[in-house]
Amino acid sequence: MEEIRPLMNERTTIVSSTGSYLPEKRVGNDDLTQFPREAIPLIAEKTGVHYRRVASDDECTSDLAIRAAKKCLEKGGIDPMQVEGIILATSSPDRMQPATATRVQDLLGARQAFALDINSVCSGSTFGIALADGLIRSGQADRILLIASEVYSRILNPKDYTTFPFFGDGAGAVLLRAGIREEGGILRSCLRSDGGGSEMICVPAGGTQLPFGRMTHPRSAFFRMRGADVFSFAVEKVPEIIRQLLAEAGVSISAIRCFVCHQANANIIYKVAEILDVPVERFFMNLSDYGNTAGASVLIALDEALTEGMIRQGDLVVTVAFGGGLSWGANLIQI
Amino acid sequence: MTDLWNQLKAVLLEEFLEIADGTAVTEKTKLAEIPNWDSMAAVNLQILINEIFQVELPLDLLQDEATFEELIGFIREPETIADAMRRFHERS
Repeated sequence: MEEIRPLMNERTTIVSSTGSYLPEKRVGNDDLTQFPREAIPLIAEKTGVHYRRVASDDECTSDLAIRAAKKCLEKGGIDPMQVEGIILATSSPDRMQPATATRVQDLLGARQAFALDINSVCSGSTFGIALADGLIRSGQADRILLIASEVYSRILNPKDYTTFPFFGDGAGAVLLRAGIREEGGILRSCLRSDGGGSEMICVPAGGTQLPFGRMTHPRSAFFRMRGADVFSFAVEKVPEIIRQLLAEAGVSISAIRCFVCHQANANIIYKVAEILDVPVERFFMNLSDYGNTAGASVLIALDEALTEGMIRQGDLVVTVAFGGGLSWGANLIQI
Repeated sequence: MTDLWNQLKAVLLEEFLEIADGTAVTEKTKLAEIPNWDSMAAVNLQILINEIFQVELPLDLLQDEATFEELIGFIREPETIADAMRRFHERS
């Protein structure tokens, strides 16, 4: 075992349990009848997505978050009253305000917990892990529930082929607790942003910059993304930040049991694996079934990788994501 | 030509916000010159042309080198699409 260099503080953050929730409604590519028949095979070819889950009309982002959170707490054997903080990563909140996390806190019965939202778009899980880790290391809290939940089906234009087929709804959760260095846990995080690329992935209207009432194009109310630019951005920044993370931690890439990458596009993951010279089998993938669940994808994948046994106790794992902002981040975790 | 071009341009302004933001397009513009043009955007243009003009343009004719002038020709005379497709397949 190589000598791992965690941050200086002896108090560390341990992954206590995980959970996820995917809505029941499963929509296949062939069900997307609003698009021309000849365009349907391109969906899987371009991204690897075959199915996606879609929230029911009476489910919103907090509902998915609560379902994932309950599963996570049940697995960990923790009562909601023992949770001291709830961080909800989402870029598709219930409302502009208040924070979606507060509804989760209420309905979960976590009355002792503070609750806040963070919006790092698809990087939400990795930014949330780093933020929760900082709060726990600093002694602010001993037990934080990080949830990532997205209902992109409500912010996508159903007729936009460049976005609609590729996304799905879902939520993931991870319960983090204070621990000691010998237990492993979150060893290191790297976070990056580049606001100069903010137009690459965005919902242009609905905020104070462009209120709905001042929209000149109805499509401005919907999510939009420059797919080709995002591909280039991802295949440059993801390998770069993984290398930086591992170099700072003093860990070789061969020591990583599993890479839990944002599930945006299978071709991005194949390319990242090729650039890093890592067998793609060490990258967990579930996007064929769920599509891109934006900020939730990493926590959903982490839960499934643990449940399926791809990650075991003691394994070194890299979680890594990229998305709107632009933002990208990675965490090194010993499970 | 002008009326059809104005209609098509209105569609483009609706679909491609970068054009609305000031990128100039003319009948001679190639599809590849549209900001953020790719095979996904081609599907959106195909859908819009079908909706607005009731003309089903195969994706094969919405290639990078195609110009708006050519698309207008197909919209005005949809019966030429079959010939164009035959030529496309002979070339490829």
